[in-house]
Amino acid sequence: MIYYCVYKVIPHLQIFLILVFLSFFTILLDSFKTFGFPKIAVSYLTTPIEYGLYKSGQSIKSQFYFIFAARFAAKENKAMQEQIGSLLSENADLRRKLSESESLIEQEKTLDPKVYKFIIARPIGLDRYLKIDKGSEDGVKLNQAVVFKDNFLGKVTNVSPKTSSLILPTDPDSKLAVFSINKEGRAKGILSGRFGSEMIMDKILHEEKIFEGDLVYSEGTEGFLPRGLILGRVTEVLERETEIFKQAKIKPVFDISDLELVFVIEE
Amino acid sequence: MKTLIILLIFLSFIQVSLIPLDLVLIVLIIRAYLLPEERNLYLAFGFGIFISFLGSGTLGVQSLIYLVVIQAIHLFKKTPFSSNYLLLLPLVTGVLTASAFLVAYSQKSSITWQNIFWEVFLSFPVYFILRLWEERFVVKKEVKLKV
Repeated sequence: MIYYCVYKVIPHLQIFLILVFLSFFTILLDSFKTFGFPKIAVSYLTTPIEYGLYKSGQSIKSQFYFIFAARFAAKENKAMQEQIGSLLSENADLRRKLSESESLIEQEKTLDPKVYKFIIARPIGLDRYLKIDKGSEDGVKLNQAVVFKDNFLGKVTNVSPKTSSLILPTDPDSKLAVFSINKEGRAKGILSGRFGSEMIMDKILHEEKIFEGDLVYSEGTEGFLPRGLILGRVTEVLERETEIFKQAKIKPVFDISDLELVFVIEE
Repeated sequence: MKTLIILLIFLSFIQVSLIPLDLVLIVLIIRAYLLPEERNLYLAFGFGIFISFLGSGTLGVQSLIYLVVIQAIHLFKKTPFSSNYLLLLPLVTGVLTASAFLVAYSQKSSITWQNIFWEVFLSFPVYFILRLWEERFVVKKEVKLKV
């Protein structure tokens, strides 16, 4: 009676029980290695199919992997380019800092920081005047001299809170008492700018000796400027018997636009 | 039936060589749900043996698991709410998880939950494809327009 009820409730019970029994029987037989030979025989048929499918799968997988790898490589390449850009920028910044540090060390070697008090500034523009990034807020005042090593660069003519402008010795409005020196003696004169690109040392007496290649130094009579700063080098001496004074063309010893740092003499 | 057997043989090879999901069991579950007939038990037994052989396992273990699972589906089909196909989701999830537990226990391995998730996910498209296939000869009423 109970079997009949169960048989009615559970569908295909008889077949299910037979198959379950067969499964247990198969497990038992297989645990005694009874199916060794049939297994080997069938594996001759199934193994090549499995291998073929596996290899095909691997091939498809590698194709898909190539697509993913290409996409990943493109992303990685972009990231690397950004990184290179960032490193280049960092490198440039470090080079600039190194150059500034070297300039500072050179400056301290040339003009004793115990004697002169400097304001370190960076050139930020050059037209008629040289513009620097320090202004009245940093202690820059009118008529202060600006130097690099022992070279005179210019005089502060305009001061704003954050920036300042320098008049260069090549400017037509610039006039400085200078002297040149060589083995045979020295020559005094007035250095003035011409056309904004060159300098002329004027008012040199005929008996004073001046030659090409001589260095020209500041006299320091203006008050703001220390004596002995280099202003340039003589490139040509203009001498006419009919004129009272000689003249000499002077060229700056370096290009201002190459400078990383300049030093305002505060005191 | 022949088509189904060929499909199951193909899926057995795929399951063993390429995709580590129990594709055969998914098809058998869905078929047992759609057509709860005796042949499902034969298929479960036969393909259980075949999968065990391809997977180099002990013959009969997989058959036993498949048979229990298919019989559970047959029992479920006896319940009055079995016609709602949305119940297939908890049913398949439960059955596949139980099967995974039994396989893991028999092989002394751990359960891969990710595989169970994919198997459950696959069961829905398989359900609709098999339903379409099994009902291909069922005559549907013609649609008559009311004029």
